[in-house]
Amino acid sequence: MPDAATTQKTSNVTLTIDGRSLTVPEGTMIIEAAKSIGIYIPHYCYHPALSIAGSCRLCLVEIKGMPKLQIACSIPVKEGMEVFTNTEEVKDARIGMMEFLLANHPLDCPVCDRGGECMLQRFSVDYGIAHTRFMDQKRRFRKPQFDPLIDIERNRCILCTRCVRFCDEIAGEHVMGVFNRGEQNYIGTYGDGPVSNIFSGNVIDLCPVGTLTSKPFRFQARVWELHQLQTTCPYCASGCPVTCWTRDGKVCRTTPPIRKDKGKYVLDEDTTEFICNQGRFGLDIGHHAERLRHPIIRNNGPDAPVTWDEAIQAAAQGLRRIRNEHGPQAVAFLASPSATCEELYLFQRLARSVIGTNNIDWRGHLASPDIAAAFSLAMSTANGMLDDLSEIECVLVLNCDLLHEAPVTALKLREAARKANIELLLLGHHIDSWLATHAKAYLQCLPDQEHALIYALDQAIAKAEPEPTSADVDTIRELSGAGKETVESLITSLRSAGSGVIVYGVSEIWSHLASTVVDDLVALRNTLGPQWALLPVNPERNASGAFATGCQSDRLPGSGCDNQKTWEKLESLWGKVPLVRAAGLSAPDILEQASLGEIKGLVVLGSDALLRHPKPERVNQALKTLEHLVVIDVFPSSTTEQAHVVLPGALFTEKDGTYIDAEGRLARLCKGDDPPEDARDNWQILGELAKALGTEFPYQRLDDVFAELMNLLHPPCPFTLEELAPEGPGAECPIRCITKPSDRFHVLAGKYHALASSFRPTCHVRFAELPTAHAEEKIPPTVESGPGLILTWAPILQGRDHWGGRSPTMAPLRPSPYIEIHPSNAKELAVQTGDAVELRMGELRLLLRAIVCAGPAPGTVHVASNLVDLPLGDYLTRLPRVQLKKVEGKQT
Amino acid sequence: MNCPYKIGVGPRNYAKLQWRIFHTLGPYCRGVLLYARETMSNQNPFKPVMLHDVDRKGYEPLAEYRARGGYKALEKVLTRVAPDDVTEIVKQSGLRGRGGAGFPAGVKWSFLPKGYQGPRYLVCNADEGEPGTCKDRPIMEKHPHLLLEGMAITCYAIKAKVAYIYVRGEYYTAIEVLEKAIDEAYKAGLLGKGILGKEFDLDIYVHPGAGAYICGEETALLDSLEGKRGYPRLKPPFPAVEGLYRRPTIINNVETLASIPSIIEKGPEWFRSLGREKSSGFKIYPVSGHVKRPGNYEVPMKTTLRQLIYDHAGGIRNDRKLKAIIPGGISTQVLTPDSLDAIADFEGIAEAGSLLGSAGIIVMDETVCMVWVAMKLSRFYHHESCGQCTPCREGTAWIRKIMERMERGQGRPEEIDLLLDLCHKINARSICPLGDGATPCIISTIQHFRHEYEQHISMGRCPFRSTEAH
Ligand SMILES: Cc1cc2nc3c(=O)[nH]c(=O)nc-3n(C[C@H](O)[C@H](O)[C@H](O)COP(=O)(O)O)c2cc1C
Ligand code: SF4
Ligand code: SF4
Ligand code: SF4
Ligand code: FES
Repeated sequence: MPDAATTQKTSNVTLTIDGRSLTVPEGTMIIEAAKSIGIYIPHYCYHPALSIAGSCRLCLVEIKGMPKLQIACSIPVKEGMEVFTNTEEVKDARIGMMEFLLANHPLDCPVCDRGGECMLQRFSVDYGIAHTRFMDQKRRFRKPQFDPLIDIERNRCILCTRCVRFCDEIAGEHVMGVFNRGEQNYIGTYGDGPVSNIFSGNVIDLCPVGTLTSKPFRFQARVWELHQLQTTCPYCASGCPVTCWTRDGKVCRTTPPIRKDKGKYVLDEDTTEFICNQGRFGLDIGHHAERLRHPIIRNNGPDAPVTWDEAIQAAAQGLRRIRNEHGPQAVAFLASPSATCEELYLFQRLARSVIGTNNIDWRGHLASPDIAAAFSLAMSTANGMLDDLSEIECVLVLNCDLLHEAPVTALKLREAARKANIELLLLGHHIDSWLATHAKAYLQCLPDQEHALIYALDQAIAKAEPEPTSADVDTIRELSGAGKETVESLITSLRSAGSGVIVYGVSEIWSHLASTVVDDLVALRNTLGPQWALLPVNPERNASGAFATGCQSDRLPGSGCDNQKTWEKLESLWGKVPLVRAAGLSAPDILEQASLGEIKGLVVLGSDALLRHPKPERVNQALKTLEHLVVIDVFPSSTTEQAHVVLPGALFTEKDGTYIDAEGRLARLCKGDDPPEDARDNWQILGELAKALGTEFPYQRLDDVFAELMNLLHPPCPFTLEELAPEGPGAECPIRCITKPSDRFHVLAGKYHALASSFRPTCHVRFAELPTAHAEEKIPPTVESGPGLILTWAPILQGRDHWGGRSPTMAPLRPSPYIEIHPSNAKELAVQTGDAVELRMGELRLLLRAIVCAGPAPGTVHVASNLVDLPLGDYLTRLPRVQLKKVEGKQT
Repeated sequence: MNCPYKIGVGPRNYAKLQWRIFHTLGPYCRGVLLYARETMSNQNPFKPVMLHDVDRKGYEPLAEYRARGGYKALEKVLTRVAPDDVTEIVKQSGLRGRGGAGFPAGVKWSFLPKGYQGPRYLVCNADEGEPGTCKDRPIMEKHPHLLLEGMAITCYAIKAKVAYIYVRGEYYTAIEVLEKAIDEAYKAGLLGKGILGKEFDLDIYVHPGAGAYICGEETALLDSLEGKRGYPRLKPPFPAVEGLYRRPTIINNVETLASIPSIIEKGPEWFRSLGREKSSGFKIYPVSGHVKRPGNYEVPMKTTLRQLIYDHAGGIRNDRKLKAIIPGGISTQVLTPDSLDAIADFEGIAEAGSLLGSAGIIVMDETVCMVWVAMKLSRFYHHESCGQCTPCREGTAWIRKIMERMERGQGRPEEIDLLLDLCHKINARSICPLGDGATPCIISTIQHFRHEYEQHISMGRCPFRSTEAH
């Protein structure tokens, strides 16, 4: 938005620092200006992402014409300014500050986990004095109750308040503070509680000293002994680059990506890339005791470990038999959206060219073909990116608990809104209350009226008049209960924005509404014009990858729009065998046909999607009916229990590959460990399976798979898989940032961006309509009538999950089952945040912790569906009403 | 929810009306709070403005104040003087801030952003926390309307519609009196909407502090007023540009504001004529310590230290020998009797090697151990440092630890220079002037009384005490 602040910034000023002349934008702080010419000014409290505290006083510099030394972190550059960063007086000041900071410091470096990365140690080398002049008793603090995952050692604290400012400003939660006064100041949380936000782990990296350290990493290793594995987080579609610090392949800690400094990789304590706790603490499941370690063949007897050959032969034999007896259409393939692009690509090749069926999908968690269709529409119309928020003026978020589905995406949006770089608008039956604090306007409506609301907005915007008509405004007000000003400001923002993105949460679109809502959104986007883009957020890490690799019944790999050409291209690529072009089944149909006995053989690559199906009994029934079930997975599950052949695969730290995140960025996953015991890399398993089925895949290395896949994209990625690896040319990303519009790939901060179109094909393969069985799910949407509040739900990232949920480290951070209640309803119920409430739904009784927030619309309540046991599958066509009652005397 | 650990916010504890001054300097400023039994000594030809009839019982109610011409100055500016001209008059008068820094009031007002339309505020700094300083208290307790009138004129000049008085929490009587006086003023149409029938609105609120010296520092005061932990802010931006609730704000001391009605009434020339060129007008000097008549003395700024101590305050108690003078609250350098003839204005005291500060004069006779004084003062700064910035937080604590040992006779010879070095490392490198203020007492006592430090070390005890443990 070209507001006053940004237009001012465009002018430049010239100054000299240590005699070197430089020109920087007006408003730049001296510390940043110096950094830009390679002059490092030591600092503790300054952090580029945080507000300026100016309290450590280490960054003092001399400015010509000023009587006192000035702090470089808070003085903006001025034309003609002459700055000196290394005069005797500056050195004297730094030596003084270091002496003050170390006077009471326990000097316990040998037992401090920060050792080697500590900023006190670093600056002591330059500005420390060798002997101590402090002869008195050092200050001592007691060790308080703190956080389950963050250790606090107050005696080491230098009170830079980075941690406090991070919580207040970026995590948006006022949980940490400075207590007491003067020399007795100490850092803590209010009521000695935990640092209760899902970004809390970042304070560990932000703390320049060893006060806040990671409990899981405590005394595990000295950092310099660890191997750094630059890879990407596998947990959500934010797709954060991360560094896993491993020893003997075991992940000891995970941090934001490291920085190369003088040829060595180091953790950058000034990094502005933050990751969420799931990514930070949840990656330690590689050596989990429950891992699948041996192939299993189940012949109704006890499971005996078998050799790989036997297992592969058994798997292939069953599939071959079914294909021969019942035709290829009796076989189906279900992939996990957490598999890598290469695996997914091979998996669909296995289905299409080896078995000869298009029954392949990744959406095993969807309850009905209707939603699957809506998903297809959503994915194929996706073209939004949030990466360069400076080019976006307005973001409209519909029904997306981004904080719990793609936390770092939420963080970036909130930061941009907080700094007024974008206008943030929220809409829907469940808005992200965390984002709402910085939203310009938000509208809430009942869950069955969303499409009507979007349609009404569309109508209001489509009109030619500069002002929305009062009739339109009234319609919207009726649907949303919002005030006139809110509605008008929302419409004005949407209309006046030069560019914008509509972000919507796919997991909060209910079955019966899905298609209508997505249709209406596409219409709204079209009304708003070509400067607007759509961005559906799938919480799954590689849903975009599954789509781009054609691991979906109505998609072919690559970004071709011409089906005929794509088929031909695939045929020539895959050994000139004619491909079956008959219709494929989507995941809900596959399960349906399996329970009807039409599908007899099923191959599952990762069972996590199936485990999230809202009607587990339907999945179980379908699997039970199968004649042959082959499952490739890393952990046991109800799916592997039913499998005839189980093939143990590799987890994210044990394999190479790529992921594509919600915004279409390609990121490299790197191998840092071997799969445990007999387990193998998934792409090799798929290759062996193909071979046993009579078709040998021509790929020598995973690189070949990647190259083939990239050739199907327009334009192809300019790098090879190898080059995307940490030491490869593709990794020196900030330098190779390409800005010419003709270069479709540009690289930013460790991530590979393809412009939306290369991974986001704009049309999808059309097959003939299939008849579907579950007719009841076509019933138009309703809400149960009667008294009570309407229950809505969506899964959250930190819920019980196939992998992430297994991390023992994350267990204490998993929220207790909660229910979000709108303040107006909470008032009626006399409920406050933290109270225990009883939820009654038919016979069901659940004890939940109340969270009073603006998230749910008035009259509705919202639960995280993967924290509670609710028979939600029964409510796919009509939303249930529930009764709430406060449970007196109980605090949860 | 107020956090009791936060500086300057939180539950007020009126029961604990312990005077910080007593805590800090004990007997040396006894009598400070029993202000001015004899404000007008015979030697004082000046007719006091702010301490007029200060020995009266209770405060001067509105009717009485108006009867002797009160609120005439307000009426005058509202009817006849444009706001900018009021600022001009104050500029001409040369009135300098009485809170400590001595910044010209009119100049400060003219720093407000021109053409800015949004809200702006006046904040009256009545936190009066500087030990040895008790000049604002009688103004508030006896002549609250003088202050209110001064604030109203100032608000008119700076176009503020809301003003706050941030009163030291322990000044319970002052708070009560101000509340009553404000009520009276509202009833009489001197506050509220359309004051004196003119187009001028003003609301004044009283806000009690919660016992932190640092909340007297203007930006910490603003934080505290906003309900936050009282931490001084980085400057720039200065409060005149971005102050209370991030709006342009003028902060002035009680005495500064209370001087304004008389300037309007009698003209800037009259005010100038009372002082010297750069320090004009009259001023209250609280004189405490070893004098015969400790109290507040309101005199023209031409007065010398000798006149204040010997003529007004009656000379040294028991006719002992004068040893040291702290001329302007404890954040200023200690002076020796050599400086007695310095004129007690900003320039005069500066020439003598110290600062006028808040003008709280603390007088010490020959029985006083200067190491003990420095130790006591170092305790004060250690206790009152907000702890935000490194040099002050760590430095004040370190100095206190050394000083406590030093006073007990357990110092080391090299530690005298260490003290000087620590002071040097704090000075001019902290966020707010508290850090700078913590060092003069150490530096100047070492400068003038180094031998006493050396004596402590060589004797292994305080030479002024008979036993080691006191
Ligand atoms: C540590 C510290 C304490 C202060 N305490 C007070 C105080 O109690 N009362 C006061 O009027 N000014 C105090 N000041 C000065 C104020 O910061 C400010 O300069 C003053 O209120 C401005 O008013 P004036 O211009 O009318 O003097 C203090 C300053 C510092 C650094
Ligand atoms: S805990 Fe660490 S980050 Fe927080 S104030 Fe102390 S040193 Fe700074
Ligand atoms: S936001 Fe998502 S990708 Fe980023 S660290 Fe968290 S779970 Fe991983
Ligand atoms: S100088 Fe002292 S009182 Fe002032 S901000 Fe720093 S620590 Fe706080
Ligand atoms: S970095 Fe500038 S004061 Fe701390």
